[in-house]
Amino acid sequence: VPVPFEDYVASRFRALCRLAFLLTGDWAEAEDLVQDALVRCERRWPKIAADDPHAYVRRAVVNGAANWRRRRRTELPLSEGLVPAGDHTATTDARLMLIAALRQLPTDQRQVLVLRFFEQLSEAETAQALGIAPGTVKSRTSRALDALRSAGVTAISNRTEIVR
Amino acid sequence: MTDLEELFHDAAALADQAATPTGDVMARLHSARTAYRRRRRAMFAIPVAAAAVVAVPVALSLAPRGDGASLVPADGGSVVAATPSPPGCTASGGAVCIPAPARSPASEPTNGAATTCSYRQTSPDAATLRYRQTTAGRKVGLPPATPGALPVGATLHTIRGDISIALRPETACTVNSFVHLVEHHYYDDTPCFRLTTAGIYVLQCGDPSATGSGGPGYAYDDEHLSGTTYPAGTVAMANSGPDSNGSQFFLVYKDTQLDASYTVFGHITSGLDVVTEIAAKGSTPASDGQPNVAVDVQSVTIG
Repeated sequence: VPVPFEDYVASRFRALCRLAFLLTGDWAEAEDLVQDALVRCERRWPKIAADDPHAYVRRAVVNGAANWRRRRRTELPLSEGLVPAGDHTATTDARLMLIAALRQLPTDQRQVLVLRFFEQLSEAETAQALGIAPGTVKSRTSRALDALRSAGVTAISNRTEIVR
Repeated sequence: MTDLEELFHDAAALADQAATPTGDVMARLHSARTAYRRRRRAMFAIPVAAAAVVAVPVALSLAPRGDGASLVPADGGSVVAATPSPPGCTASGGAVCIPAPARSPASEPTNGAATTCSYRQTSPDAATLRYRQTTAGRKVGLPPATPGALPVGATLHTIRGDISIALRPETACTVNSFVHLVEHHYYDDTPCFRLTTAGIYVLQCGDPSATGSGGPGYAYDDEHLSGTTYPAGTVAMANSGPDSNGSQFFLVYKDTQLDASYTVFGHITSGLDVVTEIAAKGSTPASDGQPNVAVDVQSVTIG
């Protein structure tokens, strides 16, 4: 049974905003982007809902973020809009470091990281979502992880602290 | 989930700080839809307007590029890994614990009147993160680095009775952190998961994961350790080595010999009998284990 558009929005809106936020590094922009994507999808919802709507909408958000990135790349306020006002301790926050590091990555590398580690897609699923070859996913992921590592994101090689 | 997946998950959740209340989403979509249609109509009707829209980003692209370095700490090392457990630690697997009483005394002097506190984000705390994903309201962030006016007392409301604590003003950073966690309901519905009844006499609480390894996702320094003793009624922070305070604390119900390694931030003013009664029921395993009667901190109130 296809999920009604309203139900889909109610259950996925927040998750989509989080996805868009990782892709853009700007939460106000993230909401706008998701709204745009959803408005576009609504017009063809019966078709979209018939077959894995989330994959379709996710793709719309990823593409929307890429276009946004292309438009705005040279004037991104990299240090603004992220740190809540007055929170001067937040510069050491691992989450903010990750967001900042993601913003420095080329769009294609950021996309594979977000799909692999946030959406938790496999290499094959990521390849399908982005319309690229699985081998490309692998090499982009590896390059992007190197970049994150040199940006000081510590969680990458640090897998020993998982509590049993 | 791997640590990296958890970090992505947690970083993405930052977007929720700008969240639209869910009830408004459809209304916003409707207005976005109207605007979208208007935009499309305008584009088809007046090509000049569309050209102007295209021209704007071109103009903006001439603006100077922002400086991206300021989000990354200048020293590059502020995000610290968890301090390794000291050799005397009796619990296993990096747990925050109270070591056996045989350790050499800590020589660290007190740090005087601390007006600025250093709360360091630790590598994402797995236990806490896992907890955050399943239970709402445990995202605590870091406490303010400059403590404001601090309260003098707090009360733990446990299912076994209330325990009132006078907070120690000299340990401003510890009290500040404790208050921060209370205000974020971090301690609500958390078990006191460890009871010791031999050698040392304490009830340990403040870990939502109940494993002894959980924490709030940050660590901070010990305060006023020099010459500290642990008589009955003492309330002190558990740790996993020097300067590794997080959220776990312990209540001493009978005079206990411990190295001066645990920041004392308060003492029990009423309700010591509650702890004594819990201790009388023993633990499993005996002498150091989970209390035989369940002890849940239902809430904590300040003042």
